[in-house]
Amino acid sequence: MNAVDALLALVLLALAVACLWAKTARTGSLLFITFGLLLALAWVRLGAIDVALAEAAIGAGIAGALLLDAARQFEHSPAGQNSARAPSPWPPSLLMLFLAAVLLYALSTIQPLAGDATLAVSAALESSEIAHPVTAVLLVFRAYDTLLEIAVLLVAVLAAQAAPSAIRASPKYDPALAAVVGWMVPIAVLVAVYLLWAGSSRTGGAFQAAAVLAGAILLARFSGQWPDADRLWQHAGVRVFGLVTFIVVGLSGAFTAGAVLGYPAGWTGGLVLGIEAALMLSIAASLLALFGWKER
Amino acid sequence: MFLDALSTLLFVLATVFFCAGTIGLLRLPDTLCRIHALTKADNLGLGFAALALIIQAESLAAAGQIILIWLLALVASATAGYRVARRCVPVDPPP
Repeated sequence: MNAVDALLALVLLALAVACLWAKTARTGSLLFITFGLLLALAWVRLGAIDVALAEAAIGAGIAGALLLDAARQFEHSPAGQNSARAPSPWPPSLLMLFLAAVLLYALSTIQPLAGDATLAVSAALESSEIAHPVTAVLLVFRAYDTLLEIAVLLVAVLAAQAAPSAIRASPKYDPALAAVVGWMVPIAVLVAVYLLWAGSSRTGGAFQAAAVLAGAILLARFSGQWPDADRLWQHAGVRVFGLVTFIVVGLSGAFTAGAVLGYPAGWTGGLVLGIEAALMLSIAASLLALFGWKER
Repeated sequence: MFLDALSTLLFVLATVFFCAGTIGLLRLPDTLCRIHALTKADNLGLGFAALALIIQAESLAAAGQIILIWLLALVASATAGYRVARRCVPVDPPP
């Protein structure tokens, strides 16, 4: 830990406090995005590039866009215009302090096994047929956890969809924006596919790729481009496709590899890439579904 | 050694422009002026930082990627600046 890390930690704490104590929802959302970007930087300093990418793309990017959207809708709603004062920041602050205390206590009780776990993973990496340890853990050693995680995500999206979605006017056509988005979106899609592909050998993977893909589709949506493709993404089938693919491949492992969620020898790389590609499409569609889009 | 010194100098220059952009954002009177400070000064700062990194790049491909990132950031911030500016102008300007 050097001066830069200490400064980063202090700024993160200050931003967190400022975010909780922000006067308006919009200011709080903007501070939250800044917090997410600096948190990604902190993950880079800790050597966890995969987490940093996910934090920047999902924590700051998608979550930030969601919060800003919600803040804007709240400001325009009757409840938002009638409330003269912002709610007291004390209850959330105290709750967060309590959570921080619990986390600190939990941290202090954990036995230091990180070194052993790292050794175990690198020893087993050879047999997993996957070059990147993070991908090997997520989709080979602990595939069960990832499978459940995807199911949880789907349930969360279902719950979010139970809330009535706001009806918005279709975006106004802007030639300058359309021109830029017209070649920005293909580049973003290319980056998403690259992240997915890179996941097998270095930093990258389905979640990061999905966040970038969802960002690209949102960009297209907000500029009013490719409405037909956008409608295709809102189909429920796209959201469940990843989980179904994962389950089918996992179950067929019982016959081809002798274990559920096992992969037959020599096929691991291809099957994992296939599952991740399906997951990327579904996670992107799920993130999009959270925006609850409905055109007027 | 000379390259390291050059990189350091470029980084210092980048910091100066970023600081100027930030001070502009905080001190200038209205939104249009603030966009002006952000899109101009910060992009120049980013350009200097990119140059400093290109000097240190291990390969031509890595240097090319840094240039591409800078160009993408330029286009994105110019477009974002334009969009924010459009929201500030109440009516469509005459054609």
